Amino acid sequence: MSGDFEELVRDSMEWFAAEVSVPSGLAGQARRGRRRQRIRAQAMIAAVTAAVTAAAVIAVTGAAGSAPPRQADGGGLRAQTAAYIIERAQRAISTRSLIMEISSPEQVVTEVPYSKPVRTSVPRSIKWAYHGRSRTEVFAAYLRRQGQPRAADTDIADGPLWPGQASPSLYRFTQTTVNYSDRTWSRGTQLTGLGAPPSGSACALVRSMNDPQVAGESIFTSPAYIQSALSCGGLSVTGRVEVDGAIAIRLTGTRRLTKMPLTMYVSPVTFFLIRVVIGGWRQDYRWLAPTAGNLAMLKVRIPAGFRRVKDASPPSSEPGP
Amino acid sequence: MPDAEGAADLERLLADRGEQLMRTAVLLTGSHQDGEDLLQAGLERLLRRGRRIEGSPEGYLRRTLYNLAADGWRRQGTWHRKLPVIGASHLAGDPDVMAAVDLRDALMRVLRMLPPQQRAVIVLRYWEQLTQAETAAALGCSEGTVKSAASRGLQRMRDLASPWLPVHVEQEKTT
Repeated sequence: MSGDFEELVRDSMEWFAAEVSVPSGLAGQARRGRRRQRIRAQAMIAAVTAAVTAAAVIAVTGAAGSAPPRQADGGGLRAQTAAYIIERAQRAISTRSLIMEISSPEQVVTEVPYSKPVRTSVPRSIKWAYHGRSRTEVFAAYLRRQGQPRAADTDIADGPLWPGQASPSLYRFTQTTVNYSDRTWSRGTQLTGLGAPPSGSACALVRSMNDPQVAGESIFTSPAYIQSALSCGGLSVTGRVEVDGAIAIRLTGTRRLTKMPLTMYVSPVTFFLIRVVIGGWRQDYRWLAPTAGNLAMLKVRIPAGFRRVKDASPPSSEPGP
Repeated sequence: MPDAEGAADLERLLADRGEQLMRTAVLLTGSHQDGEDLLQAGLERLLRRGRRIEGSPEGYLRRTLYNLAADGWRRQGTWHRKLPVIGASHLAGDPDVMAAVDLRDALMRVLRMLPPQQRAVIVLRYWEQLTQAETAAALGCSEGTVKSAASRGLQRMRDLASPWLPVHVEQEKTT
């Protein structure tokens, strides 16, 4: 018969189910669901009893026209399903309550700022962002031998991470930079101008999406943004793949969203981003609970003996390191 | 079954066998979310039956999952919607190193496209590795039904997934 094919089917099922685990609280949800069913059943019995009693009273008094008892809704399962979807959606949009960690290997990025592609070398970096505050460690090539990062702590108050998501105005942010190569640090306050807010869907942001560094900064991080891009045809679902051993949904960008090749990988459960590759620039995402230990990664440390120097940042720039 | 005792039993069952049950539910429905919902529906039925269950609670729960899935549970819902299979052209022009993953993905997509009973039979026969007789007993149907559902299901899967299949597996079809 078809031994190889059956083996393939079995292997695929193993693969598909490999990452599955029992969600915590499932037993509790089942108990609550059962309780709701029981309450509904009791309510129905009570309603039927009341209707029967009323009918009996009406019959005794000789009145006519009693209304039939209401049917049970029969939609308990549907209601539960809807509740599940809502719960998952709420979980999906709760990235704001998590620390976003973006790591990016050293690589060459192709940008299309206007019409001609430009190739740029990007150093290895890792960034943590939470509630308008971020810290980035950039492992510049010349420091790699010492294994020392250049750390920058950027405080952009409570504003959005990406300026395009706010109303047009100026806002102030503070940036602290620690330079391990010359053992100095600096701190400066800057103003930056915000662009016009995006109108409507994710596809309205198409111009920004041609700059991978702007696009990759944080625009992708919201499940709401991803869903908007799927709705407007800026992203299409192109399969299910493994990313570092985890199952992910692969989304591919279309020209409605960007001229650059764009692939995004999101968790099939939470819709959180796992990886983005745009213009050859790869960024890996992790979402961390805001524990004291994780929050400490947002705080820049100035090593003892480092000398403060005048801030050399330009007077106005994009927020970010 | 008193609530507290039932809850403790349920927790124990999930701790011991939950992962395997969840995997089965996910395969029967085709997605993690629907698998979770299916398992919850099964657990609710288990709670409802309480002490009236004959045999092991896990056996009852499994039969419930199989039957809910085979009966086209939530037939009107999204999980039963036939998802479009991604065109093979995605692979043809693209030397994707993840071709093996895409093949598995394609097979899981076509599994989802099978009628509920065929899908349940495929999962029981090739994932749970039940015999024809055991599958028939679990689904409450005849062995002949299981045999034909498995044969038709596999054939349908092979037809739909043929653009992804390696040559030697494709050739099996003609031998």
